Amino acid sequence: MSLAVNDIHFSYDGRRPVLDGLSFSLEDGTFNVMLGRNGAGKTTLFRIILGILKAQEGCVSVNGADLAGMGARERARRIAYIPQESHPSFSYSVLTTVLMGTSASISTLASPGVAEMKRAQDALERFSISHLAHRRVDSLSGGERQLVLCARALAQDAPLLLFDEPTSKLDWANQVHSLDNIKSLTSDGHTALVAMHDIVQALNWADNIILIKDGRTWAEGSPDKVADSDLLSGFYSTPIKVGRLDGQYICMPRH
Amino acid sequence: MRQLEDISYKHEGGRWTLPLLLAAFIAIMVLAFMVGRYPVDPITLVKILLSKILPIEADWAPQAESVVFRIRGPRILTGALIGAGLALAGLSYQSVFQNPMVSPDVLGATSGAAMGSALGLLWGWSYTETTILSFALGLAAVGLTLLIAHHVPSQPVLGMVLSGMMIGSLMNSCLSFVKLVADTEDVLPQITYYLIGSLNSVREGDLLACAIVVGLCSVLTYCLRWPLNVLSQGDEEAHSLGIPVKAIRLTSIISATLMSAMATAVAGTIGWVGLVVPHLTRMIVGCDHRRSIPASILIGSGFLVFVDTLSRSLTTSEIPIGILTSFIGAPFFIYLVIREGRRT
Repeated sequence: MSLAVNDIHFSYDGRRPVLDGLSFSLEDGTFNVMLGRNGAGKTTLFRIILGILKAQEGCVSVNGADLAGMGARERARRIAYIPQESHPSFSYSVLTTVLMGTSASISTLASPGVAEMKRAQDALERFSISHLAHRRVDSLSGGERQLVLCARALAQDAPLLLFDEPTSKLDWANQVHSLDNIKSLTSDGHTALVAMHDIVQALNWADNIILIKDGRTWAEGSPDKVADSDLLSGFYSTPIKVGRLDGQYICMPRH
Repeated sequence: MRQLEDISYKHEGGRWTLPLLLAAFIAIMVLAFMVGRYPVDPITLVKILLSKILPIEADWAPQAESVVFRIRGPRILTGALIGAGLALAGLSYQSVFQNPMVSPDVLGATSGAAMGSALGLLWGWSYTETTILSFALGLAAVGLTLLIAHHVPSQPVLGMVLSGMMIGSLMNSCLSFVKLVADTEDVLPQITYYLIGSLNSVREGDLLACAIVVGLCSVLTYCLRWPLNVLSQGDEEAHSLGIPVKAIRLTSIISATLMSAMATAVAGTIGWVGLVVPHLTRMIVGCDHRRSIPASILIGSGFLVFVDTLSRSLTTSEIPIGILTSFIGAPFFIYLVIREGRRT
């Protein structure tokens, strides 16, 4: 499923634009990373894509269909959102939480049935967390919770996945597992758009990197194109050196 | 698949929990019909009840039948409906506001209904007129709260809670004014007694009104059992999962408001039921609304009927039920808070 963000303008107060003509597009089955400094508008863009905020100008379309005219259910069938972390007011079991991913495929007044239970079970198995099914989500570690949210998104059966800083609260090993999971989801045909801050991870895992600055697409392309010391130094307004070690990209500050 | 379902039930308190709660509720109802100043033994009670549908020869005193059908029947059944309504209203409010500390008065329904009853008593209206005014003002208070909250679109939950506090406070001030101008010999004691909360003055008409409102609203709330689960994940996540957040929240609020306004209009301000019962319910059957909705109905109705039975049988003069629910509810709530605090 392809996503096209076309000339999006958005401001919270009507004066200072957060997004000022942002445009990019994603191809099917690709791992896309959105990099930008704090306040660059990544979360705002996610909220616009999810229909929580309305863009003042421009549109977001999925396979050519404008998202603005879609209701929450219709949108949820196309796009799944994996938040940075989830702190529900009441703690449910892992199984019930993953089942919530199937909500868009049942009537509002119904509750999940056998088919939805099967989808939830498959999603739990896909991330090897079936053994956690009976545990309360609030008793899990940060890494396990992330897997539960990924399983919930998988149960949602939406082709486009939005990840909001999936690695920021995880230890190093779980960061690697999390990125590997996203990569494997894109290998299965999902399209992922990931907001994150770690350039090294972006260069080594992504298929496509979008650099957002001043509410616009500052640069976009494959890791090989973006892995340019001058380009990234200009983007972050900080001297950065990009190199390679055993075929992997590394980045460090240049003093 | 089979294994996962079993695990799910195990986690949520076991598949026999709801049948056991139903059995406990029936036991409390039977006890409530038996106990009182005119005791009715269980065999006679069963015979009297069955005599309405089976040809059983009446070998009991006529007073026993009158006690069961005319005196205790409407009171016990209305009490059960009010208990169910308050518990379910509390559960709904806590779910849609994603806050376990919320009680049915969060949007001003109880304060508005109390104000309505006090006005009806002040103006010397009939019982039915006073009940209708109370119900209408309970709904009007919540309507006003929602209208104000509508102007805080960026923080809908916070807007509603703050508006509710403001409207509740305003209604309480109006109530104080009504008490100030009320006749101290006649009307003021009536208002004071009403505000404590009691099922003493319940009539058959109240039973019908409660049955319609609580029945319909319970069915509606049960229909929303799954979206209410998803709503607990937070507004943004619920929206991204395909839940029409605003519509679900508004429908639940209307349903919960109807039930709490009806309860207050009929029996006065009975505190703690709407706060404590949802907590107790979640402790027993878990958070999942597919089970917590029927469980809170059974626990709420059983609890209020039990407390009402105590209130009319502990002493020779009846203790208003609102006093007893506070005596039982407040310490129990402290116990729950300490228990949860230790667990986390």
